[in-house]
Amino acid sequence: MRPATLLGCAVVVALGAGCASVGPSPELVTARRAYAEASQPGMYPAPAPMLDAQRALNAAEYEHTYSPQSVRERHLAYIATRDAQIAMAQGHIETARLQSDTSKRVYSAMLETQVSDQRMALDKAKKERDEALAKLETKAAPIFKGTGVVRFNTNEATLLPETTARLDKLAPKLSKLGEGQTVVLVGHTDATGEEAYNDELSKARADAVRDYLVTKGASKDLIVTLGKGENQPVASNASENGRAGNRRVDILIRQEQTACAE
Amino acid sequence: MKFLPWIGAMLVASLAVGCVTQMDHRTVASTTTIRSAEIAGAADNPSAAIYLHYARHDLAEANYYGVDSDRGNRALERANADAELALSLATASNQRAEAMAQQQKVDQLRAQVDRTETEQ
Repeated sequence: MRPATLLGCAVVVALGAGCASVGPSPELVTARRAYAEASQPGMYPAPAPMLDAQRALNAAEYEHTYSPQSVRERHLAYIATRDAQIAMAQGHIETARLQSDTSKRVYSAMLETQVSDQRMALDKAKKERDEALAKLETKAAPIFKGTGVVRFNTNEATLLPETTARLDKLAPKLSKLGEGQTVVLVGHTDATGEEAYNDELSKARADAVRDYLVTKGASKDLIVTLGKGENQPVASNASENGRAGNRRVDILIRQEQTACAE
Repeated sequence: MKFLPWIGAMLVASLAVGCVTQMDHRTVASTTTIRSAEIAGAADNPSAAIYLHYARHDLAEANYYGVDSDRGNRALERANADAELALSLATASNQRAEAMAQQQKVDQLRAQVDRTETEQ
């Protein structure tokens, strides 16, 4: 064999050995690591970008096999790294979204429970109040009952001039109460409007009468105001006259019974 | 037969326009993703800001070399990937903050309920 041929063979062998020893590019090393991290158990990467990462990594590995350290290998590895990172980030988004949704549901459920509890407590208090009022009304018969003395216009709690004139006449009597006597002002409405609103309106009417009587010398501490809404009509709500009669405040003077008397 | 060259020319022109439009779409998509990342607060997010910076740089490179060249095309692909990552990281950060805020609301309400029960 001629020396030139031997030299050629040596060059070819050296080149072959050199090629075989070319390692992966830093980008490919990073991509492998990123993909491996994202594939760890307990990680929840988003499937679609993870698939992209796998494809890009496979393509980069292919490039590495046939043209190691090439621009294309490095580029594909770069893309694979980003896809793996995107998969992880989107997995975090999903996890956080699930946590957020769970917290929202828990919060709503807790609020609902709280509202339900409060509603029950309110109902209980209302029932107790109604029972107490019923007791108060039945405890002793009124020694004075002024029904129809105080009238109102529809949807108003303002005293009319003729009403104030009547109250002026009553005021001295109501200002000089005997021992154990209380003035009870019971507001009423006609059946027009919502029941809840009428409850408030009837109480406002009773309060308006109390405030007027106080200006005429009555003691505020000895006046109890109640709102009965539309529940105790004295006339039919079908006619205007009937409704006018129902828009009223009844004035009662009650004598508290002592324990001995009971 | 005399119209054949014209038809060929029109076909070539349509294909060329199609290619240009496709390239434009990719650039537009990349720009849009960068803009979305900015809106999501990536510029102020320590983990996302660097990828937003890479994306802008890669997009500028793609425009410089032209997206129909190999180098420009690679730069555009990198820009897309970087912008997507910046957007994902910023969104993840926002979503985590939202989850924490929701959890805090639950904790506050729970504490309030506990306090009320203790008072009762």
